[in-house]
Amino acid sequence: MEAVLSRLRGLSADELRGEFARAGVKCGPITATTRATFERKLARVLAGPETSATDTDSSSSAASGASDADHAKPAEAVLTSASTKCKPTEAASEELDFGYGVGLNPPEEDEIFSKTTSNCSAQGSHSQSHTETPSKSAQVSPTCYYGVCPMWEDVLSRNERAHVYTDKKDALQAVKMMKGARFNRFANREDAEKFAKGICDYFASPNKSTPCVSPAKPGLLLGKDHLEVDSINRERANSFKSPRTQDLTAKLRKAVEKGDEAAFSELVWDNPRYLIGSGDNPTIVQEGCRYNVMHSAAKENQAGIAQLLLDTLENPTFMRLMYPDDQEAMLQKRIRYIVDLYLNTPDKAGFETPLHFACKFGCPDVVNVLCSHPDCDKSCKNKDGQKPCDLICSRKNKTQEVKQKISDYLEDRCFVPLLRAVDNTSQPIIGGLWSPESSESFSMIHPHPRSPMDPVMTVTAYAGPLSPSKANDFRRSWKTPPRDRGNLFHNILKSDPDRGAERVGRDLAHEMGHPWAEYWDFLDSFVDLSSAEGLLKLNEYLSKRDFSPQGHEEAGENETSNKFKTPSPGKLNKFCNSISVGAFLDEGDDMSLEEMKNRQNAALTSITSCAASGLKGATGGPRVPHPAHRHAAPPRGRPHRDGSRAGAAVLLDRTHNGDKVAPRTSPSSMLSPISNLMVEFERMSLQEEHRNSSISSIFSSPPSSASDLSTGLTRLSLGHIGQEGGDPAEGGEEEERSSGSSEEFFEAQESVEGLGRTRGGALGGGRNLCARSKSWDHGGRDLSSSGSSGSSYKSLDNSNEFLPRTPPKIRRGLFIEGDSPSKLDRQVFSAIQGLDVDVLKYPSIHKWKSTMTSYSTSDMQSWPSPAVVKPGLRMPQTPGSPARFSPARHTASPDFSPSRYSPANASYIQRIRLKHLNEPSV
Amino acid sequence: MSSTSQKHKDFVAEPMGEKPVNALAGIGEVLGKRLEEKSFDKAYVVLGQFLVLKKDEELFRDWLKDTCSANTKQQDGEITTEKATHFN
Repeated sequence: MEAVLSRLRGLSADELRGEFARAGVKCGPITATTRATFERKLARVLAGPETSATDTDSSSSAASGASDADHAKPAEAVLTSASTKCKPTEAASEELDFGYGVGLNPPEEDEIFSKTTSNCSAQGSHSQSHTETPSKSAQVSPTCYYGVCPMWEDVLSRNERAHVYTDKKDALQAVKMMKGARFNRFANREDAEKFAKGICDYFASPNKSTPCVSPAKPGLLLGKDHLEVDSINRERANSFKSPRTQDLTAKLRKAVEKGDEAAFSELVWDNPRYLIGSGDNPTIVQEGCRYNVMHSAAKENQAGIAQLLLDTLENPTFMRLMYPDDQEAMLQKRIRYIVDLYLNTPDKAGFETPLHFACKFGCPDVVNVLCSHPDCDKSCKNKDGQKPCDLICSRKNKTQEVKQKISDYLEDRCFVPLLRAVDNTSQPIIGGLWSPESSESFSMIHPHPRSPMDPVMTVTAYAGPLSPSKANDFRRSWKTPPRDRGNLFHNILKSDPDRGAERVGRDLAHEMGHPWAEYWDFLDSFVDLSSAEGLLKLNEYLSKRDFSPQGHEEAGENETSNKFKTPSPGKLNKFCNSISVGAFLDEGDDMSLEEMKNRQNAALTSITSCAASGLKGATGGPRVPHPAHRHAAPPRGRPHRDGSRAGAAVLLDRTHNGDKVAPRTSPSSMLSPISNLMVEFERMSLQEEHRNSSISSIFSSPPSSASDLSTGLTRLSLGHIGQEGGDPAEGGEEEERSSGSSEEFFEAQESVEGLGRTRGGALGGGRNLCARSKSWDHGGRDLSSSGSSGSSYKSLDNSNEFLPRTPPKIRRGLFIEGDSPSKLDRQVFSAIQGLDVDVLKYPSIHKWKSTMTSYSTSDMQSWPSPAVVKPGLRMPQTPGSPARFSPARHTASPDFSPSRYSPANASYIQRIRLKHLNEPSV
Repeated sequence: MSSTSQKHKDFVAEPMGEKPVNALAGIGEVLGKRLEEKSFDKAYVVLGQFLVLKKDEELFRDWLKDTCSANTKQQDGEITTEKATHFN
């Protein structure tokens, strides 16, 4: 060992480094200060494992003999003081170092020290014991005095001499003897005595174990009480302790830098103070530069953490943890405040925000997350006056594509929304560019309430986020499709009033590579079905349906499958549909008579409400004809439905008495040949033409009062249950009262429309009505309904051809709604048509798709639209509601993608709507 | 003085962390290589040397010259950097 050491000592620095390399030991820089340590380390390694601890000890002491080994000084001091003559001064100075400011209980080291020096302390204390008097020996000069102050009462009660010691050990012993005593070190004896007598109280030293030293005891108690009250208050606010700095920097920052989202959320949810510091400020996870979590995440390109952080902070539940007693409004304020701070706080070193960091280090994902938040300030300047956009990739990832990506993200993020009336009574509107920032101020400008005339608009689809220029381009081509494909798109728009605009937008967006999302009722979310996420959702939905046959039944009931549903699946429509007899027959096989009657009653009541709402809602002419058109139409629309049901419906129509219903809906009649039914149907329509028209006239006449309405309804029910023809006189009266226009229609229908073509006056009337209403009202309100009635007419013709081929009810496949294919199936099918669906990944979609492909295109055309139980008011009606951070928003979008700040988030819709109704419509 | 060079700004803008020695202003490829050869591979090791020399600029300059034969300008850059880092 010694030999090795001495050999090493002879080497130059470079040679020594070579030795290290040969031994396979890491070594730091070899300098004057480090060399000895490295030598010893290497020597130990070279000497091998047989070197024992004592060896190293001896070697260290040997090394300490060398002049440059001053690290071993304390040990050396102890050793020398133990071996050589005891030097009290040195001991005293040691004590001075150790004893200063020590509290009541002496620390362990002191005792150890006193033990180690015990062999000399005998002499030492001897020599010191007589120095209690200020007489100083040359060597032994007590540089300090220890005053020991007993408890306050003790001082009063005991009249002994002041406890002043020069040796700390004695002082400590005295302190031990007197309970609750304190001691302090003084430079001169007088002070020490004063202290010992309690004359001048030194509060400076923190003394937790003796809180009652002060003579002002009552006051102190009061203060104590106050303290307790305070702490109780704080307890109620929340019971979380603020984390130690070490935890913040070590645990939290490590989790953030590694991107360990699980660890991050565990820490944060266990104690919200990890994120929310004092005064609702972001916590500092890096001292010095004062980085918060967002800085660290941005620096390390942890987009996931950044998003998770924002989500967590904006989650009211999280804030509730911190402030359980806050008012909702206050909580929202706090959330906004701290989110703003997290997004925009500059660091201490360069005054740079997280966005600066993300740009500087070339982290497009983080830039995306940050920029998609409306509160993010994109024009903050750093110490050198640079904005984030000036710093893109200045430090790392200097590739052109990353740069491009980041600058794209930094631009305003616009969406192109598509707006539809909730009841689809008006043409869909392709909204103007929308971005989260701009819409904020917008609501302030238009606080006025909307007029009841305006249809309620919701966003049903949007493309984005895009840069403004791209968004503009997209919008233009959406509104006026490129010329070469104009016809195709035009056809889609015309033939598919429900989703035509979406389909065009979807195709365009996919073509241009823009992100796209549309609202799917059955999934209750905005997705692009052709994206991986969309497919996953669809698959989930389908497999759920696949395994719950009960669901089919339920849905089947809803599915009234009325062709005339299509034009305007609205409020009125829903009620109207419920009266359509076909609905009752979906489960006709096992339905009892009572049930039938019940349902009929229910239907009638729903008519009442429908008519009432019609009264309320329809302020002018245009709406009135709708009831007529729809009520009269259902029986006629029946044939396009699948055969057995159509048959049953016809039968029911023919039975003019409810009592006869049950026997007629026997399975045998259900399965009777379709051709027979058709014949019957035609005959029937001939016979009942008059009756139908009178019924429809009842409905088409605008009821002037509530009583009128009710009589009308009674008459309807009578007519419906089968009073043949109703009361002619009454009917005539009604007809007279009905608007001239509808009279016109009925005449026209009777004279012009042949039975062979339309199979029913009422249907013709309905169609005509629509046609007429188009001419009445170019404002767009009825455009869609008229257009669609045209299309439904077309499909009516088609469906008659296909009728024989339509599979009977027995066929059970996997469908999105109900147990028969519907329009929705077709819509979804068209959305994912171009895609190859992986069987393994999306088994249910595959199954469904193979079902779909078994139908011909023309079959699909004839599918009825499912009864839409519109969630209707997806959006909050009150524009001023604090919906921005309401829990609803969070439940609505459990998957937190950056598109959270997209137009899909309801509260913005109102603003868009207002904006667009003030603009000339499309 | 080269105290406002971009490199210096970049260095002092963030915590030193595990930055390599050639992230220091005034230490380029060549000097960085030399320092690394002597096991001064990280910026913090150089800072440590500066501290061991009791923050004495003269000594540190001397040491730099000795270790990697840096010229005055380079030394200036490094010293300001080290100081800035240290007092950050």
